[in-house]
Amino acid sequence: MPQPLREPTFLILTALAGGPLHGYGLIAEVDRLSDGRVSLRPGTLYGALDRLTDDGHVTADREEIVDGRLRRYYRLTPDGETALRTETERMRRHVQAASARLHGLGTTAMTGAVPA
Amino acid sequence: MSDEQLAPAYRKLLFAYPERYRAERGAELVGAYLEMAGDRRRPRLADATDLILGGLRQRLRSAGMMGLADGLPIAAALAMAAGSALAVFFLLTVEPGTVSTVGWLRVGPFATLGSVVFVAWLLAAITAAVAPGAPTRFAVGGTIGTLLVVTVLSKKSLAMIQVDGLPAYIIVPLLGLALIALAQARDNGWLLRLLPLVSAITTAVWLKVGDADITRVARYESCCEPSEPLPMALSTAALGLLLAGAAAAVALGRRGDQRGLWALTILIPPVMLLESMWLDNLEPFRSLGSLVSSNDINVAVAGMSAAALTAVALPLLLARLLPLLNRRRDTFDDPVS
Repeated sequence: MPQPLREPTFLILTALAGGPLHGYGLIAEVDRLSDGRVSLRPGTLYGALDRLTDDGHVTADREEIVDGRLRRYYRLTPDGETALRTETERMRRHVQAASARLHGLGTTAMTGAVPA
Repeated sequence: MSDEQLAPAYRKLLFAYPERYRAERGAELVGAYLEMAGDRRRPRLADATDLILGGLRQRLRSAGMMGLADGLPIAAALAMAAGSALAVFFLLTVEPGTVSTVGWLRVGPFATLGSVVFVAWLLAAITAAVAPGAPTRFAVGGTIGTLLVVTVLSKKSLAMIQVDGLPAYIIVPLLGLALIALAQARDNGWLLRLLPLVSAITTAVWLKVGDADITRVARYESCCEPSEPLPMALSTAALGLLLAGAAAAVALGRRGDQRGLWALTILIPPVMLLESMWLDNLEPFRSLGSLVSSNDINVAVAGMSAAALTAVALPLLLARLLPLLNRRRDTFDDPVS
């Protein structure tokens, strides 16, 4: 059974699902996706990218020089897409279960019924 | 500030990365930092920390030892739990000591300055439960600072009052545990967050309802006989740490997750430090310890020698063995290929 992805890893894969991104672009996208809660620094980001590359989830796409600075773009591989889908499905099931329980809790609170 | 001035400063901070990695990825890393820099004039402390830790992680990756970084949060929680148990043990056995203390510094209801270290450790354990991550690391850092201050002040005289602290055979293992406990992760689950508190409470209950002999410890001066109550307490903590690490290795290993095995590897050196008294009777650690004259210090040296040996040898061994084991398991799982 695959291990659940850690939050920064999940957010990096989610960011790349929108298309190839370079390091700074990824940092900005992860920040936006997490509403500023997960703020990656380049040293941490590249460590995570190396690991995702080793696992075959991410690969280098292309390079360009902008204002004299090297930008290397990364993209999701088919394995990375599968890992993201699997994790999303796992999280969806948890959200569904929690929502159902909370819905039951709301109904109980309104009717005063005791759940079986 | 222009790239010409800021880029060299960031390039210097890449020193922790392996040379080959610097050549391949250095420009890209520095480029990302420059894009984030805005009008900053020099790298921040957080940038330096990020790049140094990134470099160390990269060196572990090059050596096939990334598992060490993965196992560290588990090892940190277990080390914190072992230290919490010891803190409660010493606070409830030695620290309420009623030995004559005329001319010696008492700290509230406690007999020695060592009590401050144990209280700090328990505060760090509470912090781990309610605020994991940076606040816990800060609390553990404070505990380490307290331990160092107590070490410096021990056996000194302050304004005509003698200060009693902790012996080296207790200070060194506590320091080893605290250094590992510094790696507390922010995203620990409830089990790892509560483990130190559970360990402390279990020890308190065990002392209150358990073996009455152990509660009659007058002082810290039980050196250097492994069967004395205090060395026995350290040995019990070592055994608990070893069993907890082994349980994590087995439980996670059954799911194909090797973090537990790496955590166990990280915990062996502090286990050696806790078993210093016993190692002092074992060659070659006895000979290494005997290089210093004080009994208390030579016990600590014996433990530190064993800890240093295992800290270097075990990760190297595991990094070589795991690929072989994984290959064998893959062959077993899929005999056709």
